[in-house]
Amino acid sequence: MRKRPAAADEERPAVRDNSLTSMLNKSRIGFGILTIMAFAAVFLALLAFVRQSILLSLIEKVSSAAGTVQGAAQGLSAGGEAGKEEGLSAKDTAVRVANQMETTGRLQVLLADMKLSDIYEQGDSYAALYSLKGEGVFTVDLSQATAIYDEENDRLVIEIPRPEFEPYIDNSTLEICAEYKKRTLFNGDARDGYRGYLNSRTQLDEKIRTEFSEDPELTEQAEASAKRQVEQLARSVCQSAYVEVRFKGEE
Amino acid sequence: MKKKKLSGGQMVFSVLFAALAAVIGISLYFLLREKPLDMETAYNVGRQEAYDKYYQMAFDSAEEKNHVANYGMINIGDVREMSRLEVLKVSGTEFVIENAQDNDQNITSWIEVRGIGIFTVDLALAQFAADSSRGYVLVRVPWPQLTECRVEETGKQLWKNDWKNDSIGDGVRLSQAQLGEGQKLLEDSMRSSRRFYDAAMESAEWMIQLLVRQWNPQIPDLEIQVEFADDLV
Repeated sequence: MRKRPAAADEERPAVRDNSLTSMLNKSRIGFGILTIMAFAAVFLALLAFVRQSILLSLIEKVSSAAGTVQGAAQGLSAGGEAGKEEGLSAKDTAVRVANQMETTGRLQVLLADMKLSDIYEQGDSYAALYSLKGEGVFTVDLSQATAIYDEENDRLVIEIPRPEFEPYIDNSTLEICAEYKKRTLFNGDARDGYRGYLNSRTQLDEKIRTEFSEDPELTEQAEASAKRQVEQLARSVCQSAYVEVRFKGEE
Repeated sequence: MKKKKLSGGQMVFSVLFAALAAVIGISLYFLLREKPLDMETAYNVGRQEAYDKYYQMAFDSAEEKNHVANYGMINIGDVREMSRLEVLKVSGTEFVIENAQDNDQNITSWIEVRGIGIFTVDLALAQFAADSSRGYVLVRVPWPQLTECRVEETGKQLWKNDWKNDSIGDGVRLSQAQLGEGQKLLEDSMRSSRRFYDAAMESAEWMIQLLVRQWNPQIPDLEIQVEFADDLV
């Protein structure tokens, strides 16, 4: 009987090992699978992102671009027609009553002739000195006045509000005294000058109103005149023996 | 061909590598997914900051270039006491037309000028005649007159100019001329309105009656007649 070599006996395992480690040990496939799995994970993650953000976006953009071309052509045509109809419909029409009137009931008690001189500056390229004439009027609102009759003493007490000031500047009295224009090629825009002056006139009227209303000398004069004029008027009209005029809130 | 065995170290490395790749992959996914939001925020913040900065820069520069300043001085002339009763306040609108051929600058400017006018009756000239026994008062007053008028504001404007745009001074002078013309047109139109005069007379009559009645509360059935006269000077 031939004897088998001892070395061959050692190489052959006594028990067959079916575990994963053993299988992987047996071939390179294991390493390959793991590597592929790793790259697959990265790839899947990237794919998910790409699919979500870039690819979809790209597809959308391409579809959108195609749609845009077609839509633009159709929209331009249809919109142009509809816009023309809308434009010619004259819906942008406004009407306002130009002449309106209301009763007042104010008594003018003091009138001051005024001359307004103004140095107008716009940027560093234009300046003008001009003047305008007008009137300033102090009025008492008689519709707010109250009259109390004391029958026992045959006495009438009239309470009136304090006078208020209104300026009436006449734009047709304008006189330009001096004018400065910077000598440059581009000297602003005429429309800016137009708007600047219009706004200035509004501002000046406001400032004049405030300034005069707060002027102690004129206000005092207007108050004295208000009492005098109303009293004189009441005496002409009233059948009572005694007439007293005072401002509301005054003792 | 002889097959190569994997060592224990290689196997551990492979497992760790796979896990690391998975972690990186998942992190990358979430990171990239969040990125557009961060980019949008950064974009909006950057845009707003740039807008604020350049807006202020442009604003300051334009304000300085166009700054309008007025130094006004009022000279008060005659001051006189009076007793004029404002009986009607009217408002009017006129269009002032300046066409391109009317000026050297080739500017077309049509502007709506709105203003007010005040009709008054001079009570200082009024005559009062009272008959106490009959409870009758006759008030003779001058006719109402338009004594005040002013431009309140401007409304719609049509403005056309050629490519030159001209100068600030041209615009200022045109504006002054149109306001002046607007004032004249308003005054003329208010003064020539029969409707306004009729309303002013009606209002004057009503107001004077009201005043006389209010200032004679002790005479309940007072009869008041208002007469407009030409001879009161």
